[in-house]
Amino acid sequence: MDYREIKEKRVFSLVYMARQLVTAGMIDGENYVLNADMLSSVVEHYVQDLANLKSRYGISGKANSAKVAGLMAGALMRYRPLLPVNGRAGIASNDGNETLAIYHGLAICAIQSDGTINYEEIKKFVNNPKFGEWLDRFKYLLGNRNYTPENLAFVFDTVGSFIFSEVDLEKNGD
Amino acid sequence: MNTLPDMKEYLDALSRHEAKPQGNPNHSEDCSFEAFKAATDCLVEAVSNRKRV
Repeated sequence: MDYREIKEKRVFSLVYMARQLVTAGMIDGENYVLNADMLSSVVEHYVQDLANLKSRYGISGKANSAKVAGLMAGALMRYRPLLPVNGRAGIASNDGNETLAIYHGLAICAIQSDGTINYEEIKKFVNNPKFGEWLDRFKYLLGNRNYTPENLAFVFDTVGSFIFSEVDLEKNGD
Repeated sequence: MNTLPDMKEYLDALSRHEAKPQGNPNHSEDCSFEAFKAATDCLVEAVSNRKRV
């Protein structure tokens, strides 16, 4: 898969995730919109980061799912493609971009090595009493603190490796 | 001049992509996107149900 195809794939995955989160009311679709210009910047930045990472670690094939999730989350936080419709809207309290980055990464890392999904495991993870607090802390990290895309990859690596039992992160990726 | 695609173009492209016949095991990218969609739908549904509890 070349970088043009990877860019297209990531645009589709982001648009799909954003659409589902808006439909479910988890992102404020009334007041926020996914900006096409920013979305293009996200995927351009992502593929450059991906190429750099592969060069740094001598990866000749695909980078694993956790790296994809982390680098994409980093690119999303850099460009924040969900923008308010109203130019005077306050944006400090809106965490739509953080929500998009986290769920996009989780979905990538929940795909099992045989290409299927374990619905029960995902539901168990989400229904864990500590999930809400973990999510809030992850959003705070993304929106307010310091990190690198590779730090985020390690967060997703932990989730993919220890939460989902049949996931082999090396089987998927870009 | 802005040559970047409009958001509607992305959504239209996504619709075309979704409308493609699925289930061809030789087309790994479609399978990968289908798996991503399934994971997304499961996550969103699970969180939505959790919020109502």
